[in-house]
Amino acid sequence: MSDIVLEIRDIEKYYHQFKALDGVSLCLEAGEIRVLIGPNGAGKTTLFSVISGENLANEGAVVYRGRDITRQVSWKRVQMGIGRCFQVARVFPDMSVEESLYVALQAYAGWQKKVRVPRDFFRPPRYVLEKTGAILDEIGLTDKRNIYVKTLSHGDKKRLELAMALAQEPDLLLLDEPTAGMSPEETRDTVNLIKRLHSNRRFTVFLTEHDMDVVFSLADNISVLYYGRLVASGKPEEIRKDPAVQEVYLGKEGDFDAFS
Amino acid sequence: MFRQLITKNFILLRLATAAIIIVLALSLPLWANPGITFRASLVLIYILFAASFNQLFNYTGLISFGQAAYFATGAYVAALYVKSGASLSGGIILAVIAGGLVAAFLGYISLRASGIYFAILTLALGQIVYQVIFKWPATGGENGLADIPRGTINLGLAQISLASPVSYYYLILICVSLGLFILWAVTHSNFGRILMSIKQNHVRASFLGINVRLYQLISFAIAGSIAGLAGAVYGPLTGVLMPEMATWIYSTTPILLTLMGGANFFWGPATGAVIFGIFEYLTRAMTGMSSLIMGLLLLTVVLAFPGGILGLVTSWLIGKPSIKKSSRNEGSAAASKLMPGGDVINE
Amino acid sequence: METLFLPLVNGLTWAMMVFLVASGLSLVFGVLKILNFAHGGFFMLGVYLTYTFIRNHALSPLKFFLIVFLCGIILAIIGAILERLIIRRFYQLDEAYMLIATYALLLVIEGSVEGIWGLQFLALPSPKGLGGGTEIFNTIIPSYSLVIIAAGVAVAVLLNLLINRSPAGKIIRAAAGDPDMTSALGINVPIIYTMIFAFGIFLAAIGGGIGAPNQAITPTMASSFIIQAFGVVVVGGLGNIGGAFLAAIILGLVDSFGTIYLPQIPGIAFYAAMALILLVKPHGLFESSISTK
Repeated sequence: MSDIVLEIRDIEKYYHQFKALDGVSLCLEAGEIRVLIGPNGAGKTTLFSVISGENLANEGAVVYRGRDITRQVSWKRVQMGIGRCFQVARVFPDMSVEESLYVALQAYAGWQKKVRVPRDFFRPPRYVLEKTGAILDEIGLTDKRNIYVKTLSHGDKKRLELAMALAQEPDLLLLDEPTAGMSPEETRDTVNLIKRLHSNRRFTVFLTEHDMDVVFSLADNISVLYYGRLVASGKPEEIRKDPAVQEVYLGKEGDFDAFS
Repeated sequence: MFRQLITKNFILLRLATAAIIIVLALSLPLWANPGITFRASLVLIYILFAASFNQLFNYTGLISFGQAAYFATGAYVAALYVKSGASLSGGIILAVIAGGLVAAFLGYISLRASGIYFAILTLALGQIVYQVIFKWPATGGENGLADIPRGTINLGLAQISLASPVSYYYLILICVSLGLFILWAVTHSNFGRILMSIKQNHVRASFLGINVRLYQLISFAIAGSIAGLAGAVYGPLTGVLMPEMATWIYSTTPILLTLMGGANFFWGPATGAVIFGIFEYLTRAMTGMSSLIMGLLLLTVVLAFPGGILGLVTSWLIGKPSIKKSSRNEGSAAASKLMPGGDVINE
Repeated sequence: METLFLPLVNGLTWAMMVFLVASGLSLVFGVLKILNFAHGGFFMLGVYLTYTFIRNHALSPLKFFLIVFLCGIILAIIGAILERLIIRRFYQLDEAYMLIATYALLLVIEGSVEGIWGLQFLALPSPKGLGGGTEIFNTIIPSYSLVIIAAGVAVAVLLNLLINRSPAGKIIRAAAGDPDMTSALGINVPIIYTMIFAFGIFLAAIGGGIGAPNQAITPTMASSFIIQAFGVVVVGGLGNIGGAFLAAIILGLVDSFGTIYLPQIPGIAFYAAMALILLVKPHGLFESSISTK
């Protein structure tokens, strides 16, 4: 077994009376792509919030690289190497694509102690300028470098968000529905992009997804969440055959898309 | 045709405007009467006061209803220092430090909350500063401070007397320019870019590993110390300080000036202060109507031209919106429908 | 006993005065999501309008409260018109601009009051028989304080019944929770908004009228009351009327006893307590709002 990046133990999360997560435990191995599936309202986004620090768990522990981060604030988790993209891309609407990356890189350079004052007071540090071009090339946004983010298409906003997260060299990347709301071509491009980035960088990816084609083309492993409980985890082919998964997730129609 | 000419030479136009303003500001005491010089000094102070508010409002995405508390803190600290017989230069430095410290302390409390809660907290905590000034014998209590001398500026070798309105005008001009330069530097720096990112989407900012609250606190303290600087030169100008200047009612002066001039522009608060100063001068015969007029003006600005004067001028000059307005509640259709600034003028 | 009883009554009187302003403020915020600075202005208009009708006549309590009620109705109608003409434009504004807009409206009201009634202090006599003192526990307390406390409690109870127990309350809660859904169910949300706003104004105005004999009447009273009401509403949890009621009592008592034990710094206890509470609980003591109750 290779080393464990993230370990989640017996996580419980309530919203008033409603139990959104009910004793969820799982482990992510370094370098894998893990896909979390489950019907709407299963608690996928809640689980991501608990891992990234947007919400705190009521019970249980989140352990990242051997350190307990259950009650850590979100920005510190990011500095430790946990990047996150949202289902609806969160971006800086009135900045250009380039400026958005400056912010991401500058924050990164800041905690990496790469910024020098006062030479780097007004202009982005040289490190930032160099890296911006590289990231834009890698993600395919170079031609939109000087465009205002609010004028970007939905898909491009999601790609920019991914670029900002990547700029900070994450060790673990949480992607919440990376292809949600995209056209078939955009979806295909995004899948290829994630594959390419993953093979270049070898980080660990934890993502949620509705589109079963995407799930099976990306996943090294799949976990199934069903109304706050983890009902199965394993290789894609095991999940496909798992009777419990078929029971709760595939439904009577035997079609993965039935619930998505 | 004319418009095209302007668009083409936009940078030239800005340079020319800047040059005219600098010449006017520098030469004003030479051709204006003492009354106007006094009013111009006040306008300069309000420019800095309002700009300190806009550092928070437009460049950090925080709305402070307590800016007058820091202005008053600076004013009282400098006035008490000068009244003790010391030089004004020391008083100004102390005022800047005091304004920053008080703002850092109260900002720390306010920043535990966000949105409306934050705004109300700045308001309430500012009222504490007012209560302290009002009740404390050392600050003159409800009677305020009178006979505040202008003193001298100690330049090591030479002592310069500030007694004359003209020399005091130049001192204010220097202090205000310095304060504006600091604000400009902060908002246009790498640091300022991070502040902008927090304003535009604070969730994204914190998920880029940015300690959002720390940045906001630093910005709040800077705005407080600049308000303190504006306050420091205010007391010796008028000679009198009243505790009421610390109340939240006075905190709305910079808000009005900023919105009137155009909150999305660095020079918006300055424009608002100048226009309002002229407006006040022209209507000086009408007394007792001020809060009605202030209210109607503010209402008109917010509802009819939220981009302010500079917003109107640029959209006329360029023919397209140059105003950027972030949407904090991004995705909410209702909110983006009529965002103050760009989108309204856009159509 | 006596030394504690009088400040207790004073604190509760203050608390109920502020609650009369805060209740409408909180209701309007809960449904319309507007924190309305101008609310204090309507409180003040209630005071001045009542004053205009009564002047220096000591009326019988029945007549007095009838006039207060009438003033409330008049101002509620004005409030409804205002909501249609101006307030409605605030809904789409950014939070900060919304606050500024309602503040501008407060300035307009203040300026108008200054223009119409002048800057001087005015005073309104208490209704007949309520102007003196009443002896309770060997302590003479102003009878009118009891009237104000009773009015505050009555408003709290009636509002609670209205919102949580009546059919109208069901609609109000629905509109507060999800206006889009409510409107999809065929309910005219804009009219609900107008009615809620007018009702909030009504509460502020009768609060002003009832409190008028207990106050020095000046054009600055709007801003001093609205800031205290803001404090109460924020400490109680925005949009939570029950929370505002409790917060008013807590802050009222703190202020009243603070003035006794720290006489050198009167007035500071309220703000200090408020800051302290919000430091520990930044979003108020009771976070739930009308919709989730």
